[in-house]
Amino acid sequence: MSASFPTDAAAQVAQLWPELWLAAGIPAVLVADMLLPTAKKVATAWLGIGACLAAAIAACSGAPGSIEGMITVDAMTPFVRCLIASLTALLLVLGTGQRALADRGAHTVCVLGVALGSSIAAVSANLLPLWLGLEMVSLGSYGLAAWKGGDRRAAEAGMKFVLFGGLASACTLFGMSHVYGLTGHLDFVGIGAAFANMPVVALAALGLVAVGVAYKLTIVPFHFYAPDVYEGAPALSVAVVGLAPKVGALVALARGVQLAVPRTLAGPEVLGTALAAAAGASLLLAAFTALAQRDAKRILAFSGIGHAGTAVLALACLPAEGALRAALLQVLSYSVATLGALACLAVVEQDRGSCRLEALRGLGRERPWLAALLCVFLFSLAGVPPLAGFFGKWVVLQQALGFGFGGARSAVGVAALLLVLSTALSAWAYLLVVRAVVLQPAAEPARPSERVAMPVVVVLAICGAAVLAIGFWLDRCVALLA
Amino acid sequence: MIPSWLPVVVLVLPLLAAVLVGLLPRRSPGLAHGLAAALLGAGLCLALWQATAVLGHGQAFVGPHATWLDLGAFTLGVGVYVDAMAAIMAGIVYLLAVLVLLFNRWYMHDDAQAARFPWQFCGFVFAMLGVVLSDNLFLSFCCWELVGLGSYLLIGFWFAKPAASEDPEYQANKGQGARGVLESSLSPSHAQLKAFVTNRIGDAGFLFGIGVFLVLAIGLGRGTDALGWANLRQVVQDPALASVSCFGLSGHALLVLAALGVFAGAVGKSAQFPLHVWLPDAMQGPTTASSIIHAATMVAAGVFLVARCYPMFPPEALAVVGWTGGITCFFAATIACVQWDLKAVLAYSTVSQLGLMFVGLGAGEAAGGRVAGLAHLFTHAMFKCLLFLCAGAVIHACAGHQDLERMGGLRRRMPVVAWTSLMAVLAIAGAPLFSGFFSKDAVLAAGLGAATAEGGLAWGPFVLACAGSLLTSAYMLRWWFSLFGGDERDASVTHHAHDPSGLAKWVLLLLAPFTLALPWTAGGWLEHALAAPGAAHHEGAHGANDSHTLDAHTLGMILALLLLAVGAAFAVAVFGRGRRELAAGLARRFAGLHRCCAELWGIDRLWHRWFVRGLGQRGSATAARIDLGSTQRLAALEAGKPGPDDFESLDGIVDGVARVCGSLGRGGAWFHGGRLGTYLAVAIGIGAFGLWWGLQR
Repeated sequence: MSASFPTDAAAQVAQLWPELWLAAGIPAVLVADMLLPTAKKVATAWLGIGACLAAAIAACSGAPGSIEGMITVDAMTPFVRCLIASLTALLLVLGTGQRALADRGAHTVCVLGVALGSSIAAVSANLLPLWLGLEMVSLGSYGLAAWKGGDRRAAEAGMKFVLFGGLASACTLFGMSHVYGLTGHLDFVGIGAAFANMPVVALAALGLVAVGVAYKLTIVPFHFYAPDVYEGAPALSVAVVGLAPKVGALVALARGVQLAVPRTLAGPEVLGTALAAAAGASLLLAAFTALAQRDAKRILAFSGIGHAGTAVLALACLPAEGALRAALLQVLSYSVATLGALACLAVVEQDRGSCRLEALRGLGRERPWLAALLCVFLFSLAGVPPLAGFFGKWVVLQQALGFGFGGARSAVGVAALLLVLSTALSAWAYLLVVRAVVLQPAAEPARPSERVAMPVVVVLAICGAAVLAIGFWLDRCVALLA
Repeated sequence: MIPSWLPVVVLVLPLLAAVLVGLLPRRSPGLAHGLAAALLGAGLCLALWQATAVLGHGQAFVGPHATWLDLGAFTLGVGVYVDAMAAIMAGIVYLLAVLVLLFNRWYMHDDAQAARFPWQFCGFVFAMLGVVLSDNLFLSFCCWELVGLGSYLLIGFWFAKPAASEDPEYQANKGQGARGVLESSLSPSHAQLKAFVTNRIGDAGFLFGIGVFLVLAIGLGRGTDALGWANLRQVVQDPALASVSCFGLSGHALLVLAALGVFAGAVGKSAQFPLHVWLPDAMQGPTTASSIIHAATMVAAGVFLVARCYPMFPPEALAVVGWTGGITCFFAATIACVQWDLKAVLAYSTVSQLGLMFVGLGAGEAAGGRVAGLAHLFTHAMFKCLLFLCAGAVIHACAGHQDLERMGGLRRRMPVVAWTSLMAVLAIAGAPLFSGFFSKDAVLAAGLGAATAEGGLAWGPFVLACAGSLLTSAYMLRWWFSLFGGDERDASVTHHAHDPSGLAKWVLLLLAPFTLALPWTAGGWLEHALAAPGAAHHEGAHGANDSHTLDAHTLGMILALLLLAVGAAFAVAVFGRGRRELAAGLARRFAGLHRCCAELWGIDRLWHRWFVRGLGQRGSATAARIDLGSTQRLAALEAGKPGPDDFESLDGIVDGVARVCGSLGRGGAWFHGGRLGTYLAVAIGIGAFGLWWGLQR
């Protein structure tokens, strides 16, 4: 290991304040969970929210720097950490609105663990912290996926998640051992330098490492668990599992591509082609398969696969200026819209016990505001113009079309065309949900529904405002990322 | 000077009224009428203020203007421009709108849908004011289309009414002379469509004209506010225009094309030959709607637009305007002579009078044609509105009967209607002291002036206009005598007729004074206001040229009187004295001619055959073939079943694409069926393939 340990340890540790805050939140929540009576366990969630907000503030106020060979904090990092922390905070707020949530303290710990793992993965410049981050995410996720205690489907979802995730972790670890064996390095820069003199076969090792990241991102062909987990797990868990980890994994992938990819080989082109191929496959598979789905959360799973494909398509242009920015804007717009949609579905799930399209019928009459917001989020995901999702797709498309023509780059151009095609196709799947919500009458007469809990209303309002605002202040958002 | 917000408020107030009134509950037609009338009344006051200010100042007011579209090569704006003619027109539109709305409250007092009328009406008025007050051709076009929409809504107000051929009431009551009308397509829903589609034909020309103007403006480097009136005027006067060339056409030829394009739009909207066919059918709407369409809002738009674009009309285009007007004026008058339906007579009289206005406009600025045409537009608006309101009162009083042959003697039962409508009839016939005399004499004088100045073909419009005027006095008096003169011919029709009550009666009485010449000629204000700026000869500075126009004026006046006398003498002798058998004899004697006129010169049939059946039905059949491929498919679709797979048609291709996508989706979904073994196998398979493929490179 080539990491030279810091001379000024305090300054180096200061790079990690956001992660430290999140990490500090976990024991605090555990202790509070032990001390608090059952009726007041909800306070653990507020503790967690506090930790997230502290992490977000620390992320914003931190300056670029690094712990050499381990952690890199660059211009983009504050935004990424902030996004992870605030998404987690919103999720915890959403959780406080769920009265029936079992074992709240442990739930908060799992959510914080996922956030911490995502955040570490996002700043790692070394295979060890990357592995640490990915595993932290996994462990929390496995538990959350099966959180609906006693529910067979949730248990099955958790089980599949564990099995598939275990395989992915094994691949990654296997690949890492090869990388270390080949190069003697674990830090990305060192790996990149060492790979410059290696045969192309050696890239297979990097490919194996990438499996774990692709698994978190739900990139074809490592996406298979996603539909089942989304369908089986409670909507709140889906939001935890599906949003922050994706941000972390995406940034880790970007950093790996930037730092660890050998420059002297045909590397960038092979890599660009491979990423474009994975992106194109994800886009196509998601668009087509979503057409045949009959469950709103399953549709969102395929939507996630497609959006991950879009973000990876942006990374396929990576040496190019602005590629990472496009990917992050895409992930931001995807995250807020999906969080909003899942918050709506969580309410439906509580009301009706299911998110199948038949169960969604008549929602427009029963809860008109909720239905309208759900439609807005779905339209954003579909890429309807004034909303955030349109601009997310737009910047990626702009990037890919500007980059992907001629010679080895044409794979990116083809994938960009697939993006256009799949956007058109996938609109149908979102409209299936909209149709059920707005047009189709409920099978049984509407029950008098409870008011939507205040925390849920707050989360919905924030997401709705963000979905609208990102479109209106696009240049501001882009500047924020610069 | 007037405050800059005034024209904007004048323009937008009816829109506001439309929105507000549209939000009122359906069950309160009285409230809806009252609110709309109050808002329009306020607008009337503002419009009058604006008119007095603009006329008093003697200068056009250039209102607020904003750039709407900036397309680099040119910009398009929105804004208001109020000169004398716009100010007067806006005042007239408002005045008639308020009065018609008040009258309508009485007219529709037993109509369950009455609350729908005011907001549609206000929207219509707004659109017309947009045409009148806009400061560029493009905005005019937009409002022009809104006028079309407004007329569509109002003509189809009773859209549920069946076609005449299936309406037992119509069949029982139709008159002897009911020929030439296609009964199967005579219904409000058909009429509104006919009006809209016929206008599309003209509007295609309008858009073309706008395009040519745009090309000229950009070509001359005047792209800023490219279609604004001031800019277009400069484009036309630009000496570089002569050197412009596009598609092998010179700048002047392009200008003629552009002007003719704009005129095509006017032909549609102002119901000129051969696009007049929609106007008589538009009678299917409520009579109050007809009265505003015929007077101030719809048909006036075409005349107004040509007057507005007058500086952009080269002499060649004006000749076309004059000839179109002349032909329309004459042939519509011949048709009006033999109609049995009392509203049809008025409809064709409108067509004819609009033709007369275009004859005036076609005579050219030098001969005073623009002023004459506009003056006739204004006076005609007043008396035609009054005539239609009277017709509405008669139809209402006679329980829906419209047959001239079965009425008569109504002057005793409805004196107010009888005498006010007589004033309007005298005005349209052009009797001295009435407004029509003043304006018609001006039009004929302008036509005569232009004809003597240019000679040859320029005589055509003038002669046709004279013939039309001769017939006008005859058929309008026939109309009046048939309704109000003589004795009752069919008591079952007229026995419970009575004057309209309350406000409606006052509306008629209020409109009546405007049929006199005095309000228009007092102090020569109208001519003075409309005179082109810089044309000093109206001030009385007589030059050599002026004795010439004076000559034409005297001649025109004499001619108008002569025409009136002959036509009126015939009508009085035949219809006034109850010698209707004389007319019947004449009809038998000239059976061919009579039939030709009664059948509307076959133009409706021609349109039906060539356009509706030929182009429309055959076109839609072809489109259906391209779309659906086979008739089996169509039958299957109509039965709600999926048709046979058929990739030769558009529909088949679309369905096929959807089906392929669906199959692919189901195929993909099979792989995601929850079987862990499949997942792993596929993932490992694809991963291995990816590695293999990557390492091949």
